[in-house]
Amino acid sequence: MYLLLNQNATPTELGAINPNTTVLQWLRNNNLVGTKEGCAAGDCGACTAVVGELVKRNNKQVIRYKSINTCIALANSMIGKHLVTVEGLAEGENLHPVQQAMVTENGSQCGFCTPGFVMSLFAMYHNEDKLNITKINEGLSGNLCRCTGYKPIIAAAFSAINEKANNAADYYVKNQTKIKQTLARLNEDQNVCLSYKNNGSAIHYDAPKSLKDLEKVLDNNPKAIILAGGTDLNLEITQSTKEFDHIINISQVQELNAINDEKSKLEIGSAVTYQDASSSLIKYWPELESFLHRFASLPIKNWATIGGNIANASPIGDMPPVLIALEAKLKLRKKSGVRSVRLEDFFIGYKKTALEEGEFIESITIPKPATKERLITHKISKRYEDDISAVCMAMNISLHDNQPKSVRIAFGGMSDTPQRAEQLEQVLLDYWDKEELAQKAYSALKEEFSPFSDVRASAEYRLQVSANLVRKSALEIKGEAVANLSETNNESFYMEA
Amino acid sequence: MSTKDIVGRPIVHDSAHMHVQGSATYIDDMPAPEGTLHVAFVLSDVAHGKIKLIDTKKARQAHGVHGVLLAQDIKRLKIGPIMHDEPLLAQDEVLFHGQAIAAVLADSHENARKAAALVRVRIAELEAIVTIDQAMSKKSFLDSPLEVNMGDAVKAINSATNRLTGELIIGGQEHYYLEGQVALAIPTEDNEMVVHSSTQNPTEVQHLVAHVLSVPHNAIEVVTRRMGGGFGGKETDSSQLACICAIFAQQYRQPVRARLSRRDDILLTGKRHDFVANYEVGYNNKGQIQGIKIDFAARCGYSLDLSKAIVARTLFHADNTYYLPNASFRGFLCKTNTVSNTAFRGFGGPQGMLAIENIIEEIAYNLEVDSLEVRRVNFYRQKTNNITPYAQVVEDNIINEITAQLVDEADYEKRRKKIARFNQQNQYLKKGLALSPVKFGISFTTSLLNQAGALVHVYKDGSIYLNHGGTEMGQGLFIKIAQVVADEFGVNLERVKVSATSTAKVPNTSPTAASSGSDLNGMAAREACTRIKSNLVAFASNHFDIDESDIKFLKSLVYLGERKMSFDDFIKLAYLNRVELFSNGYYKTPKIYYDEAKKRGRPFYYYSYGACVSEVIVDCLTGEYKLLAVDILHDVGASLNPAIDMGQIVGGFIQGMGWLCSEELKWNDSGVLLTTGASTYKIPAIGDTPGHFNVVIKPNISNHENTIHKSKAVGEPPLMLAISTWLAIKNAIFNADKNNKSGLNAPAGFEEVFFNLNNINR
Repeated sequence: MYLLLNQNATPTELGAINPNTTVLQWLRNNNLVGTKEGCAAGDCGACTAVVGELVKRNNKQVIRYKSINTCIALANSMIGKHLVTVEGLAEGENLHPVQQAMVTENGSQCGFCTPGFVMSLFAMYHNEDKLNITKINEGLSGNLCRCTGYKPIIAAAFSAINEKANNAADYYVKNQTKIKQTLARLNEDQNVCLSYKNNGSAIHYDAPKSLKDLEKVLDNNPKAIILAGGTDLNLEITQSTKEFDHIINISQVQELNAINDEKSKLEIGSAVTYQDASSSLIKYWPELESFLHRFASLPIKNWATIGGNIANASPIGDMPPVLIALEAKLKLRKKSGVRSVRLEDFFIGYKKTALEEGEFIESITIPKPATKERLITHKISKRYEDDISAVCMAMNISLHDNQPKSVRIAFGGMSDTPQRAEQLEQVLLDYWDKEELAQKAYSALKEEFSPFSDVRASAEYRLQVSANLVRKSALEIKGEAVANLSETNNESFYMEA
Repeated sequence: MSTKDIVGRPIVHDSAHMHVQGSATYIDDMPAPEGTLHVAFVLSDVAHGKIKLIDTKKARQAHGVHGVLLAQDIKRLKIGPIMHDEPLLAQDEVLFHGQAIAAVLADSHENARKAAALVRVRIAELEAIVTIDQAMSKKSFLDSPLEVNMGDAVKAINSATNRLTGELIIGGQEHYYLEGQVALAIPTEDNEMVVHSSTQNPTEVQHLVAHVLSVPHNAIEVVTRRMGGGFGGKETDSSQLACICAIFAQQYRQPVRARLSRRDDILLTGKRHDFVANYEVGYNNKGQIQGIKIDFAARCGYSLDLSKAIVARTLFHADNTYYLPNASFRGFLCKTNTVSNTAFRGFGGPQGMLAIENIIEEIAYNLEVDSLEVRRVNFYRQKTNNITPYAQVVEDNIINEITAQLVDEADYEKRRKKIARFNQQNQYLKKGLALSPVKFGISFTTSLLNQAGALVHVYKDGSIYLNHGGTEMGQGLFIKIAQVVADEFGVNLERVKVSATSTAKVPNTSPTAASSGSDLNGMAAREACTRIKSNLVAFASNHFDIDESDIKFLKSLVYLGERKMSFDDFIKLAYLNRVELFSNGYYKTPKIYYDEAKKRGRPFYYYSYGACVSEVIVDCLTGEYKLLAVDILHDVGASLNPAIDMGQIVGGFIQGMGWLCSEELKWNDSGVLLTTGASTYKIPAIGDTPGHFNVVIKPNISNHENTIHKSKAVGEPPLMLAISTWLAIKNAIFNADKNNKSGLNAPAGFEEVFFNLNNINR
C-alpha cells in the first residue's frame, strides 16, 4: 500500500505494519524524526504534519492540504494520501517561507514544538491569503509552545502569509498537477483490506469505499472496532498500550462523506469531518462559528468526525448537546436494515449507545431552523483553545416578540451522557423575565443532574455556572451587555472603555 | 575591544534554521546504535503503602522483553542532588503516587510499555500525608524551618495603626517541557560509558551514574547537545532515567535508551512547589508596612531534592522591591506522600513575591487607595531604606525609575480612570488593572555553585571551537557565548562552533540554572579567549617587532602595527611558529557570601528588575476572564542579544501567567495525581496571548557590577512579571464588589474566580 511522501516523485510503500501503528510511529521508525512526540494524545501539536487529499471543488479535482495530529492518526489511513512532514518543506538549501519567517521572527527557542508549528503554518500558507488574529488562533489552536509565549510565532504567521503574493510558488504549488495525477492513480485501488501477522495471531484492517462494502465487512466482523478519524479511539493505543485486533476504517466510504442540504433539513454523513461540516453548519446556525472554534483544535477538526463524536458517547463531547437541542436524528444502518433514532434517545449510559452489533451511524439529520428560532451555545473549560468542556450548554429557543415560545436545552459535562434538561426548559419559559431565573434554573438543574467533581470542575461549579449560563443566554437575547470573552476581539475591549 | 558588531545585536538562535526543518537532533532522534534496548517503568498507583508483591512473570514472557529490574537488583539504590534519599526504584515501601517500582527492558519503546503494564504489584495501602495542612498538623518535615529576620516584626505589627491577616494558597506548576525526559546510555570499553541525557546538569548525571555503577567519575561521559525545554525540570530530575539506563547498559552490555511517556513524566518528576502562606502585617495609613510576618509552608514531597534552597529563595524574595524594616519570614519544608518537588524557573522566588504582592494589594483595598501608591511608599530607595531582611544592601535599585517609566508608557493613570468608568457602566463584566514590580536576586544561593569553566580551541584554519559547562535548553545560551567569543577574536560569528556540553571537556560544572548561564559561562569563555589572545599577542609582538598595544583583532582581520592580515592567515602563521592556540577559562562570581547561622550576608551578586501592567476583563456570570493588555518594561543590563532576551521576557511572562491562571495540578484525597496530561493540565495556548502585548527592554542601561559585557541575567525574572495578571484579576473581583474580601488563591482558574464572585451571583 502506498502514499505520496513529501517531495518524492514516486509513491512510498507503507510496508507491512501493524494496523495499530500511528503515523508518528511510522515516520519516526522510518528515520523521519523531525516530527516529534509531545503528548501522544493530540493535545500539543508537536507531531503536526499536513495531509494532502484529492477533493472536488466546483466539480474540479483539487488537492487540499490540512494539518493533522500524526500521534493519533493511523499510518494506514495515509494510504492514497500525500503526507507532508517538516522534512518536506525546504527546497535544497532554501527554507520554505513559513520556515524562514519562524527563523526571522525568533519563533523557536527549544525547537521541540517548532516542527509542529511550521506544519500548521504551512497548512495556513496553502489555505489562506490574508490573515487576521482570529484565523491565526484557529490555525495554531492545536500547537502548544512552552518557551516563546507565542508572540513571535504570531508575528511569523503574519509575515509569512501576508507576504505570500511576493513569493515564488513552493514545491507543492509548482508540482500540483503531477501530485494530483499520482494521488488519482493511488486512489484507483478499491477497498483496502490488510492483515498483519503478529506473534502468531493476525491483526486486520479494512477501509471499504462504499456503503455496501462496509455493510458486508461489518456483517462478517461484527466485533471489529469502527474507526472514523480515531482522534478519541486511538488514545487507547497510545495512552493505554491497547492493540485492536480488527479495525474497520469508515472514513473512505463515499456515501458517509456526503452532506445533503435539503429543503427542511441538513443531512450530514457520519464520516464528514468537523472542518468539512462547518460551513454548512455555520450557514444555518451562525452561532456555531465561535462554538466550533472552541470545540477543538484545527488538526482535530480536520480529522475528527461528527459521527465519531456521537458514537463514542463521551459525556463531554461538545456536538451532542447542540444536536440534541436542535432535535437531530440519526440514521443507523446494518446489513439487515435502516432505522432512525432521536439523538437524545441514542445515549443510554456512560459511553453506552443504542447501536447494535454490526450497526453503524450512517448520517445525522438536523431540521433547519424556523425563522424565529435562535441557537445559543456556551462552553466552559479551563482554557479557551483546545480544551475539553467542564460544561457545554446548547439552547434552541423559539422567540415571539422577544418572549420564548418554546425551548430545548441540552448539556454536556453534567451527567454520564449528553442530556436534555426538560425541567429547566419549563423554568426558562416560566421565569423568563423574572429576577429569580438563575435561582430557579439552579434548582431545576440540581434535580435533573448530578454532575461529578473532577479535574475540570467541581460539581457545584458545574451546577452554578450552568444556571448562570441560562441567565446569561436570556440576557444575551434581551440585548444586555454580556459577552463571550472567548470570542471577544481583545483589541476592541481594550481600546473601548 | 567590543565593537557592538556582534555583542548586543539581535542575532537569531544558532539552531533556529535546524529547528524549523526538524533537523535539530534531540536524544530520541539520534539513530539508535545496533542493538539498542528500551526502558519503561512500572509506577505505583497509590501514594503510600507497603509493597507486598511484585509479579514480573508475565512481563518477562512478553514479546521483546529482555529483563526486569527491581530495587533488590540495584547495589547502590539511592541518589539525590544534596542527600541520597531517593531510591531509583521503590524498595519495600512506596512513598508517592507514580513512584517507579520496576523498570522493564525490551527491544522497543512500545514493547517495553506494553510489558510494564503486565507487571502485577500488590501494595498494602497506608495512610498518606497529601496536603500541606496535613503535613503541618502532623509536623511532617524534611528539615527544620528556615528563617530570615530583620528588626522586631511582632512588636511592629502590634504597635501599627492598621493590621491585616490572611492566608494565601499558591499552586504548584508542571514544567511541561515539550520534550519529555530522555536518556541514552552507550557502554564503550573497560567499564566506560557515554550517556546522552536531556539534562540541565550533565555533571550531576555523570556523578550519579558513576555512583550507581560503582565506577569513578572519569569512566562516565555525559553529553547534552540540547534539551526540548527544561525550565528547572531537568536540573535534578534527569538523573533517575539516566541511572536506570546506565545500570541496564552495564548489565546487558548493550546501548539502552529511555524516554518517558507524557503521563509517566508528569507522575515521576517533580513540579514547582505549592505553598500556603499565612501572613500578619502592620501598616500605617499611607500603607507603609511597619511589621510583617509570613509563614511559608511548602509541599516538598517525599524527598529533599533542592527544597531547602528553593524555600530559602522564597524567603529571600518575600520582600520583592519593598523595604521591610521589621520582617520575620519562616519557611516550612513539608514532607508529604507526593512526588518530590523541584526546581522551576524562579526557584521559590515567585511564591515569595506573590505573597507580598497580594499583601500590598489588600492593604490598598483596605485603605481604599490605588495599589500602585502603596507599592511606591514601600519601595526600596537609593541611600536609605535599602537593606533587605537578610541584610544585603540593595546597591543597584532602579525600581522607582522603571515604575515611573512604565506608568507613563502604559498610560496607567488614564486607563485606571477609564476602567472605573467601564465598571460603573457594566453589571456583568468587570475590568481590573494592576502594576507589579520585580526584583530578582542573581546568583546561586549555594555559593559554591557560582563557578564555571570553558574550553576554546582555535584550529589552524582560523575556525573556533567553543565548549563550556552550560547547557542549551532553548534559552539561547550557546549563541550568547558564541557572540562573546567571536567578539573577543574580532571574527564573524560563523567562525565559532558551539559544541554539545560534555563532562569530558569541562569538568565539575554547575547546573545551568538560577539564570546564571550566560553570566558564568560567558565570563569563563572570555577568560579562555583572553589567554589565547595573550599568546597570540606575545607572539606577534615578537615576530613583527611591534608594540603589544599595536595589535588588534577586528572584523576578521588582525592589525599588526602598519600591517594587517586576515585572522585565518594570522592563526596559520602562529601555528607554524608553535603558539598554543587553545585554552580553558575559569570564572567564579565575586563578592557573594552568606552566613547560614546568622542568616545575614550577600547571597546575590546583583538584582534584575522589571515591571508589568496587566488589564483583564472578567465575566461575573461565569468566572471566565480574558487578559486584554500587557505592558512590560524589563531590565537586562546591557543586553548581549536583545532578540534572545526578548524571547526570555515574553516566554517567561506567559509561563508565569499559566502558573497563576489556567495551570492547576489536582490530587485526590488519597494523593493520586489526577492531572497527568495535556488534556487535563492546561498550559497557555495561542489564544491566551494578550491582544495588546507591549514589551520593552529597558534601554541605555548597564549592570553596575562587572558582569559579561555589563549584561544581566534574564532567564527567571520575567516569569514573575505575570503576578500583575493575577493581581489584575483580584482587582476586577474587588471592583465587582468592594466588600468582597473572600481572598483569591492561585491559580486563579475560572472556577476560582467564579467562587470569589459568587456572593453577587447567587
